[in-house]
Amino acid sequence: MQYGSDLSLSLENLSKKIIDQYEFNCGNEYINSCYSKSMDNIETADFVFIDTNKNDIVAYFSLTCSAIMVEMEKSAINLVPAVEISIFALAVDYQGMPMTDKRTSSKLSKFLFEMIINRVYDFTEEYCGAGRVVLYSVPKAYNFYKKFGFSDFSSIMRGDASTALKDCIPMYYIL
Amino acid sequence: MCNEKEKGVPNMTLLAKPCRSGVIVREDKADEFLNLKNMKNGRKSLHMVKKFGHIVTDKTKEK
Repeated sequence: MQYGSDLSLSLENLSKKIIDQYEFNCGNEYINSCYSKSMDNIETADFVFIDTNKNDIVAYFSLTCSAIMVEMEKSAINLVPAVEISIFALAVDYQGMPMTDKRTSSKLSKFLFEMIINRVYDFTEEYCGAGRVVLYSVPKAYNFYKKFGFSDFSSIMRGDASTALKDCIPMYYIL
Repeated sequence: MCNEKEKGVPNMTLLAKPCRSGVIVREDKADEFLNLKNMKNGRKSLHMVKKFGHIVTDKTKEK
């Protein structure tokens, strides 16, 4: 069995060269198509973790600037700066991989997600400030983010906004 | 959607459907939400980065 701690990874900006060179399959056609079309989207910064020994893409993620709208008195809206993690997906071969052989070992997915949050800290501290991370979790990933420390917007958000988010769950994290 | 929430950590960790419609926090919860900045998580909470960060070479900074 392979463990995450044995991998040698490189974090790279997703480029046309990488897309041409590597296939990416996370088991979700929509995300796979986002990967192959990512060069068409100028509103996101896209990255990949590459397994340098096997020459495989391990994970693909995408970041974008965002803001959380907060209703204030007299119909004013306060915008709270945030960074959105718009995509985070692991390739099928790496899903569920533990970091070490210990029975209680954390998963590779958690480590990579921490690396992403660490990158968000770099960005918000050095280049452009923001105090929150937002994401729209697919239902199956809800507990993963909850355990990480994300909070669910559902109890504090205006109800009618949820119709636009039908099958995903808006969550936020305080940096 | 609620039933799916109870199923636990999935093997397939992903976020689908990037969404630009945004979330509006209700006025009656505004203070509660805005005051959360006093409960920052902080970079120090990223224990695995410290422990395993050496397996990643960041090539995005080699420009």
